Amino acid sequence: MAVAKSSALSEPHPYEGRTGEYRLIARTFLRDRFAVISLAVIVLFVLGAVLAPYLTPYPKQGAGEPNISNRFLAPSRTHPFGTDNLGRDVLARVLYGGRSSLSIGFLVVLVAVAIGTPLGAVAGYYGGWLDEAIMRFTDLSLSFPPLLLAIAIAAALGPSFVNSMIAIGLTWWPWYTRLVRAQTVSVKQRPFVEAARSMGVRDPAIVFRHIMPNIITVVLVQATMDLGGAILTAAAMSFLGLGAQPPTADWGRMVSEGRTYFLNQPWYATFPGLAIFLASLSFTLLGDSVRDILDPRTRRSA
Amino acid sequence: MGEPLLSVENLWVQFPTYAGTVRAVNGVSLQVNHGEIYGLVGETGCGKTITGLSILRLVPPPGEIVSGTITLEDLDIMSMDKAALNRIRGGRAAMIFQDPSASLNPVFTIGEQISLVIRSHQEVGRRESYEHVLAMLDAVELPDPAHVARAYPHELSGGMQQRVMIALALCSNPELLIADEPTTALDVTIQAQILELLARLREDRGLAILIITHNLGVVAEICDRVSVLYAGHVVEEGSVRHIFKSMHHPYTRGLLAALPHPGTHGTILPAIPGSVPSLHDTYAGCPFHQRCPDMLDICPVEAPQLRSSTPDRPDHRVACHLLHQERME
Repeated sequence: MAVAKSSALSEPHPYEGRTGEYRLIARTFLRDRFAVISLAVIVLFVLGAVLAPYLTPYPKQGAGEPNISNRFLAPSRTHPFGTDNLGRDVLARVLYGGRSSLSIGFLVVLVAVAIGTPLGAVAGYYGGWLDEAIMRFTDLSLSFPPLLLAIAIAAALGPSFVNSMIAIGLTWWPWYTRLVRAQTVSVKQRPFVEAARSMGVRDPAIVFRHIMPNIITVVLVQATMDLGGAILTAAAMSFLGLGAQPPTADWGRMVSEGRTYFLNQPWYATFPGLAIFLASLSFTLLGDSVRDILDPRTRRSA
Repeated sequence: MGEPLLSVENLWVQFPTYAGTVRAVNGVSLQVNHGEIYGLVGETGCGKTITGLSILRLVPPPGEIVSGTITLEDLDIMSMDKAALNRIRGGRAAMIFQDPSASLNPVFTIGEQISLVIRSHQEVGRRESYEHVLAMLDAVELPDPAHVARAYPHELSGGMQQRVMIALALCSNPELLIADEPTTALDVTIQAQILELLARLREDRGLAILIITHNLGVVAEICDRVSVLYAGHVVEEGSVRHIFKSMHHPYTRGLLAALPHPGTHGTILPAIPGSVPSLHDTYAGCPFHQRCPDMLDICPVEAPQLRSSTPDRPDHRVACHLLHQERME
């Protein structure tokens, strides 16, 4: 099947693997039920967040406009998730909340990877005093309890969406530095690095062309799994009032506000809580599957 | 042929470790001529690989070249900076290693890897290097180069992988190829094919090859000259033809006797008793004296110098008191 089709595809790059990497990845992925379900959930969340204004009949409430006359309506056909203490449709708020909660997750991981990966690669490849300096600074950063450090930074910068992202990102990068350094040290001892050096390939090319591609899957898997954790941490921050500020919708903040009414109006805290749970679980499961798929050995044997 | 290409003089390499200084290479000298296949033979741990790595200044830290001169034709390799070394490595001199499957990066296709080496030495783009990549694969007699260029290392057999390594090494048309145990990880028939390929590359390109091996069979098959290394010392050197006819050092003799051949079937192979002295130790005298079957009184006291074995064979040199004593008698 695969053989017959390959000639019909546009001509591949001369160095690309002829086995049809992408098709193989797709096929392995589709065979993994957890991966498909978790990806579907994530796609739904992302679509819901992006298309929120078009999906809900109450876009203004989603954006924060109160509607006091409809306070605490129980879930019904017009308000599937009920309404909150200001009479806003909770479904609309959850969809809008995805915008801040999901984007902060991505941004935090992006900041952490962007800071941590190059530091780890440099420390691991060059070694010596540079390694010592970078890793001791990393240890120093890790010696603070992460949530407390993030809270301290966010409190110092002032509570806002961007500041909470910076605060969490700054507590997250050391893990990537450690991960990437360890991987770099192990990969640089493999004979192909020595072979590349013996053929006059320069250091930057060795780090970025030879070593990085061998560890990028590990970083990617870690990043995917961390997305769940980042969303959770961001939710915790906004639960404490340090994240996105009202009237912007945010899952953590909604849980925080809803908990006061939990005994009588459980839907207010429950649905954003479920959103946090589902989103972080899905990212974690997806990360697991991505690891299996991106490792060429497990992929081929699968 | 005949003009000296590589010359290593009095090379000392040491590894400072917590347990003391390891003396891996102790005053090795050798000279490889243009278009010559030179063998460096010895058992595991005798310093032959470190000698090979030293030539491209690739000794892994904490090891360091303590003293010695290395010249490639007119270039002084010891005084080079990093940029100059990178031009030499894979440029005028290249190296291939024992385990080709580990020496290729598993996440790249073959074409990509060869292209990266070409682009490290020439200002060409990724796509422009493609013709060159195919030409290199063709030069090492791989069938269907376009097919191989797209393969990942694990899709090739060991012999094909070693051919790819040789292709990588030949990208910039080097004058010297250092081959560290090029056939050890391969089975015997493939081994013969790779040796044949190396011999043919010497014929066609005038490539000089320094083969590092523990296998005297490989030396006998394709080398012109050979140095026998023991505990970081050259104990015997000379033309292969002459050494196999009349070897003088007890260690070389022991090595050859320990080689199985059809005549030894059913008998116990003579092994050299004992093992290589720890390279931590500082010892007086000949490094081989503890294992030598013909030890003399002088052996543990004074280290023998490399000297011509017979006056009519000045290039066959041996470091053994026995020989000189015989001559005196």
